[in-house]
Amino acid sequence: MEINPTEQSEDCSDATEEDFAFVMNDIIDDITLGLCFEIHRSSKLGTLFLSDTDPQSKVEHAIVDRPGVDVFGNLPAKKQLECICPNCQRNLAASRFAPHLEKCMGMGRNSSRIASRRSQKVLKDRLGPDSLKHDSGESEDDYNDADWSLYPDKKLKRLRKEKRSNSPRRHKNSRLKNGSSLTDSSLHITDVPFKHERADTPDSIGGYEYMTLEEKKTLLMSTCGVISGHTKKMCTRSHKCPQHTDEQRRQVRQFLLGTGIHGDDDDNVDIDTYVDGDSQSLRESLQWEAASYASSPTDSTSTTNGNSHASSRKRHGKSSKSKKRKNGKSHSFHTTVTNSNSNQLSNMYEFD
Amino acid sequence: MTLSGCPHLKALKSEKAVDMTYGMINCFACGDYVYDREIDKIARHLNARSASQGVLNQFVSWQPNHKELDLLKKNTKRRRVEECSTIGLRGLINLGNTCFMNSIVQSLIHTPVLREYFLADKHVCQIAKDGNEQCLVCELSRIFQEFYSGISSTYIPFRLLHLVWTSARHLAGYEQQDAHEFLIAALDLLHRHCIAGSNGRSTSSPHNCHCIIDQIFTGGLQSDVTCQQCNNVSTTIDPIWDISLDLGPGLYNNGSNPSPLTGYSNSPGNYDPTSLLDCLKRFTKPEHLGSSAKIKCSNCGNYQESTKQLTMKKLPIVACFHLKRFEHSTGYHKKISTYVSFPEELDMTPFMSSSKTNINGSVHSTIGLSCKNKYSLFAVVNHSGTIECGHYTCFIRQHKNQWFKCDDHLITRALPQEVLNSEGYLLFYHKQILEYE
Repeated sequence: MEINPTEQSEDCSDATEEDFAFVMNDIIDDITLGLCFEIHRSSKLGTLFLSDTDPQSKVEHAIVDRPGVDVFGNLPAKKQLECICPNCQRNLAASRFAPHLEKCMGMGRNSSRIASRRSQKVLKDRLGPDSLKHDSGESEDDYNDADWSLYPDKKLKRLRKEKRSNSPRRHKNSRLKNGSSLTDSSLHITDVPFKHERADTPDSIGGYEYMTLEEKKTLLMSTCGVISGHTKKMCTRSHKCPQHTDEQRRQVRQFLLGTGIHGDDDDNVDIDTYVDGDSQSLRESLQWEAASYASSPTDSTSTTNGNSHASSRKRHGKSSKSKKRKNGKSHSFHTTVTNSNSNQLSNMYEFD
Repeated sequence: MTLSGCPHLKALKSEKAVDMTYGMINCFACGDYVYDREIDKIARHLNARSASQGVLNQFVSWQPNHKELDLLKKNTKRRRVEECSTIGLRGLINLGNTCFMNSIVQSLIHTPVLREYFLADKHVCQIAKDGNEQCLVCELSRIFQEFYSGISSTYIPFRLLHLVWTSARHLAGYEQQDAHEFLIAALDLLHRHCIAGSNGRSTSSPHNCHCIIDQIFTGGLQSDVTCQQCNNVSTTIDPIWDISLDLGPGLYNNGSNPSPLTGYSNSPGNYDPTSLLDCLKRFTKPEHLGSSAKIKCSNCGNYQESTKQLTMKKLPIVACFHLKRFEHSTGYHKKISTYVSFPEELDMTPFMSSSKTNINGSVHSTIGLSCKNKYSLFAVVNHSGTIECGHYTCFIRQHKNQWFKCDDHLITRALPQEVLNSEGYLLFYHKQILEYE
């Protein structure tokens, strides 16, 4: 309760000083009595000192006022914290959560689609739920590497320059053969992916027989590439893939290219290992991407209109597909990607 | 069952007296005031009924029940927000370019009224399905509990980020974002999740929305358009969550065409504002709309040149000032880093609709002993770096005058002078006196 004697005196200026004193005292008495009742009551009911601070907590939570440490007394070192992605339930470093989530939710760029699909399908179906925990350590990083380095930025640029003239038609044909252009496949979300999932598991691809030498080289530069004796498919994980040995990798390169080539690591832009200091260059490369494609996620940032969102996403899906086209993958792999694309599209609509 | 153990109450054997102000019962046989649970219950019920009939609702403090009392007695650890305790402070990890979000979260968490609301557990979720997973207000409530739990380790706001991204697609994506844009989007989401489910009311205008966000952040901006011909004034009032203030040199009164209505002699039009008050004066100055923007006057029916003036009709409890440091003109984007001073205490009276400039240019002053329009600074969000690439940090006030700098996971003590000398991007002021509605 607030008492403002000056305002009272303004209201009734003809009253005497004594009257004020009387009213004032009365109010103060009432408030005092109320406080007494409160204390009396809590003492009788046994709640009086319940909310007092215990001395131990007081010391524990005291602010530390020393230079060089924060208010809790910790050194300003960044601790490695982990969190579980609400989207794919994977364990990952908290400082990389935003870039992960972007990919996991199917925004941004190609690699996301594989990441999302793999995390949901591969980890659950192939390895089983028990292995989730086991996967969170070293091997998970390898998994990521495999994904991200499939489409390194620099390489994309180079490939685009090289392949602009010849690749689109070839892949248009292959797409038609499979009967799943983007619009079609988005209608067949349920049945198409399964077919290809069985044929080409996300970690391996077939159809390498039809690749050109250049395409094989590109693929092997960033992937393990060992051909499984059982499925006759290539392993698409990184060079560090624990499933195969270096010797196997060397052999497959000899077999496919005739001679052993070394993946030039300088060319691999591993997006996932970008730290804060690199953000400038990453940004530049992002801007380059945005400039090179008329449609990018940034298009939809300012709009809130549902229609324009949908259309921009569709365009985005197309553009990412064209990226892949230039990457020169075998057609069967290509359609898998297209399907996962449409999968992603349908996922995105669910968010609305 | 009687808690106080007065044996005379049940049997009605002895005489009793009732205090007329507070309704306490004195038992003459006990020689003391007695507290009976059933009588308390009746009293509370009657209180509530009188409150619903228009009598001002009395504040009832929380009363622990049997079980809670036992628990409190067994567990003696207490978390108390005290002058020199770190309770309420917690670092937020950067999830990858999410410092804009961290700064806004820190500002919201240290908004005094919002804190009282959430710590009093006032939020009743209207969405309530999927275990409150989709409600941003519930998430904010959880973050409040995390901040006041006494845990000092860095908090990971990954669920918040996920929720914001799924709810507001235009904010989603791994890139640097504008803290102001995020604030407005976050307030909008919180508002929508507050009123979701309460059918019908969600369509009500923002003027009379009673969700906690609108109660705290919504102010009324009055816009008066005066016809030069007949002096007819047409007034509209718009709800606002923030006040965006221009920083660049004045555009409208660039020397050549000084408005005849310039009321503030100390702030020429073509002059970079150097203080928050300058900015506010410019914001509320009558502005000549010029010959290219003639408006049809509803009174005289002609297309006439007119002047427009913005004033504050209703002040929000928390006033958020946004200094427009990012300039986006056609062809170029740049950051304005000019120093703009801002006070620790701000009086909004000169910018109210009730004290706006008269036609003859004199300021109708209502300076008196009233301090009901006074505000105090409680949070400042700063941006360092360039327009493309930078970092957000935040100063927040805890208790009366303790300032802390929140740089993602790092919380350090700051001096008030340090805060006032900082560049300032978003300034959060809190009303000093809250009125009954």
